[in-house]
Amino acid sequence: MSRILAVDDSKPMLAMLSSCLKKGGHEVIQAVDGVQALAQLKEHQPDMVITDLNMPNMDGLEFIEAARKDPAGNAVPILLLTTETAQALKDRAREVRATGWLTKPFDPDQILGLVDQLS
Amino acid sequence: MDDDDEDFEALFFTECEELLSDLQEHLDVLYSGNGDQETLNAAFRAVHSVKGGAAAFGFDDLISFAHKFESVMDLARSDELELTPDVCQVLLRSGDVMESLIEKARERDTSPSETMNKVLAELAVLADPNAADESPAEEVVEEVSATEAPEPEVEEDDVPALRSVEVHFQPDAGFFRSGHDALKLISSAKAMGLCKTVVEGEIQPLPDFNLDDCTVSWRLHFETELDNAKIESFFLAYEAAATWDILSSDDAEEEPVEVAAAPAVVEEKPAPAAPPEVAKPDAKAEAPAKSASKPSEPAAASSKKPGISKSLRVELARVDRLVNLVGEIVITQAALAQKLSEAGPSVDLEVEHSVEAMSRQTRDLQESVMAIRAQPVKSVFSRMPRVVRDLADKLGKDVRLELSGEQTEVDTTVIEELAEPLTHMLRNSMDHGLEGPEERIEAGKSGTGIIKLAAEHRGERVIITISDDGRGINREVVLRKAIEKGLVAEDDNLTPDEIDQLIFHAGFSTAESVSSVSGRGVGMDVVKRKIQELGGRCWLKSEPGLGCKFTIALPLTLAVLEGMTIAVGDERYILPLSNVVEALRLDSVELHEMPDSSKVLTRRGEYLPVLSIRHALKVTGDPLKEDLAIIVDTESDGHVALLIDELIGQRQVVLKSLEANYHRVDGVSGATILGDGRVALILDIPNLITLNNTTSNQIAEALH
Amino acid sequence: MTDQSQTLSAPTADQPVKHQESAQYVTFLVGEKTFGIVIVMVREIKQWSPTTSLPNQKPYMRGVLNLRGTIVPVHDLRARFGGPLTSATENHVVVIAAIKDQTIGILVDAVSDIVTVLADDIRPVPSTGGNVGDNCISGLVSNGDELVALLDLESMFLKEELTDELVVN
Repeated sequence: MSRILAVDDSKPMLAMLSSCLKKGGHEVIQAVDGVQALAQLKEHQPDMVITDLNMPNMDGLEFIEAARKDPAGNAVPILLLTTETAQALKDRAREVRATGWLTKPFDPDQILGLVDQLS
Repeated sequence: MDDDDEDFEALFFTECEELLSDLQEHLDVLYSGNGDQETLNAAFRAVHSVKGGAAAFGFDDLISFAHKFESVMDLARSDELELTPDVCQVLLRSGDVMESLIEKARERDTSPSETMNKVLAELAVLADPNAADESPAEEVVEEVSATEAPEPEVEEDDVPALRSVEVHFQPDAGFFRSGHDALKLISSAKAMGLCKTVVEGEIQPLPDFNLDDCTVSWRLHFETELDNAKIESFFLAYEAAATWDILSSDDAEEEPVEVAAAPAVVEEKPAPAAPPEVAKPDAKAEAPAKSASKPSEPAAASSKKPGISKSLRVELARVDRLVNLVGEIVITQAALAQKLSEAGPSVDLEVEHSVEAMSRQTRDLQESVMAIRAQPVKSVFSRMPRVVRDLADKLGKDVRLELSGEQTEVDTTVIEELAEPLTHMLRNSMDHGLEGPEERIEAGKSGTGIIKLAAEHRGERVIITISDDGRGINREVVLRKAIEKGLVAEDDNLTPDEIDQLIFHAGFSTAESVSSVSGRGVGMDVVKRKIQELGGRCWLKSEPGLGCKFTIALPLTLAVLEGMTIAVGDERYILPLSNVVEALRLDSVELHEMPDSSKVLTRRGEYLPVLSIRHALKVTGDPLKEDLAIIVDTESDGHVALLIDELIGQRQVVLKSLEANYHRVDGVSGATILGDGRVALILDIPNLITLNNTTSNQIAEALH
Repeated sequence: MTDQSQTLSAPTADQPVKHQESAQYVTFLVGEKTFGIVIVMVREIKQWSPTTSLPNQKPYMRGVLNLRGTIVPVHDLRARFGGPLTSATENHVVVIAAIKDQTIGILVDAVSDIVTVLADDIRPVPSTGGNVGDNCISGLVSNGDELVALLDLESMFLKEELTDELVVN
């Protein structure tokens, strides 16, 4: 069981992701944008982060970039969960040191598998 | 782990379908007397493979039956049993039983099967003619399951063996900075069967250790039952921060391993340095025809071990993903071209040329990808002999099915949809078309009826014909029924051909009593609808006393279409280019108004019915312009003029289904996505015209 | 956020309380009415954008939209329940839902909330005799002072059997 920070500005998406993770026996912390996620990251020290890409205030990439500069976030696996598939964005994700990339709609088993594998 | 088991099981059943189809084909050849030792061997191997897979999952009935089946074939292989037609019949029936056992295994149905016992008894007689008298079927079953199922041979032969796989894993420089943990990787990989890890490269001395610069790579050695696809998907989790190579995988040689584990992705066939002809008799080597392309040039990657495959076995979903992706590229390319043309003359000539070149390449790419999915119609045709055999028994008719053009290639999307309509049509021909032996002989024909099933390419379509030498359509009966059912009026004066086509009418069934064969209300209307859904047409020609010929014309693929984009009001539509004859400005031709206010158009002395798309599809918005006519050709109504507002251009479009998420819409065969992201409907012109037929009939009458 | 993270965290190991069956619903508004869709069926929520209309369909069928390459039909919920067509603007919302293997869009006025509903709190729909909504609502539940009608998407939208007549040429 891991503690996972789920970040998405869409409440339904966030609830769906959380419910999937909880079914896998994990503890879930939520945030609705990058700013909030950064605060949650520092406060709760999650084992893993799964974040949306397009969000207001601070998007997923900016969040990862900031998180990697923070002691609480420089080594934690951070997965991007997004509908985007553009290579440029993937390259950018690599640059800011995202751990991995998942495409929505997500497959619950795949997410849980990745959580086990990476965290 | 349970999920994985289910996956493997699903693969096993898929594999079984292929094996059964191979088996069927080989047995048919043997039955026809054209078989040789190799045919027999191939049939034997198919049964053996099913047995192997069944053993891995513990389907006991299937194991024991396949074992008995196999032993009889083994006798034939060693010439201890002669393959007389009678023996072949038993083998064919055994194949049928095996198919039903596989079906039962799939449905977890463990109820006993009478047919199986009957056929088992027949096999037992073949295996030991002397035992015939004293072995009631039940005993045979018992003996088989008690003594033979847990046979050690099955065990060692068929338990999935471990494969050695080596993966060269090269973390990017920023690997450790991207949330990855080498220890976690190793411990997760252990669950996959990792047994040895060799670190390569320079391990930095601790004082200099720099997390930002990963300088090592690993060789990870697995001993695993998992196939390469599973291993690949494991490593995909590291996609953003590492690269890897799955270096070697010395597949164990037993087929069962493939059955249980391999089909998902790239299967490296253990083909020794032998010419293709020698490798071919392997039942499995033929199977890839279903999923992959023709054998390609010998792989140049000779750095790998010898024995690298000449053909790949690829999961269809992967090809579909590729097709979709190419589809998206076509759309993006179209958008780019559109933007460019909007930009006008300011565009650099070189840019323009590059875009043109790209357009060509995109098209080539698309064609190449589509070619991967093409497969011979053989995969459905080969299922038909059994349909015919079963039915011939039931109906007490002698029938010979002749196949031709089995190598004709069609997109796999079409192939999958063909089996059902073909089966219906064959049943129809056998039930209604062919006479019983006596009646045939009386009519001066041979007692054995002949049905020919043929396929050929004609332009962008594949033509499939089913012809029989039966009695043809009884027009009197058909007409009487149609009048009874109120489908036509008595004074309609239908031509003989029109009467024949009535059998495609919904709810029409000519069988005097509903027979168990083709009655039940499932008639030719269903076939016709199915074919239309596939974007095809079907029709028939009947000659009383001589037979009947059904023809199906289908597009080669359901994935792309050459189309003309038109505008009507605010809507954009696609007309299949195959229908379009020409485009006319209305000021250059004459429009005549008919008494019922419908219109006809004169073109080179010919009167064409006119159909307003705006009217037919009830398009609203934008003032009526309708100053352009597109002349289309239809099989049923000849040339028809469609009124539109604007012609936008011609392009290849990617067909998207409306039915996936909705249902069929009249007059529309599908949809596509335009360069700007909007959805445009693809018009089904014949259907659209049929919908408006009342009008055009009146026009026709007025003209005559 | 903090209070939510508490309600959402999994039960701890030493407190394996057998919870009552519950499910989360996305609720949304059509006029004054509130409807709910069980959250596992909701794929995403999109701002309304013009659709491509389909010829000769029921009025509440608002046409199709392109959802990343898939053609998705959009149903107007207001019209589906007998009301007038929604005059959709950018402020309207399309709920994308997955029903078995089908993806559909439902045009509503606005998304309102996510609520957790206990199975015991769901009340059956009183029969109103042949009303349009009869078999489309699987139950009613109150959320504060509003009544939420829980939609049974399967019986509302699942592929209708083909009934279109085929005419022989």
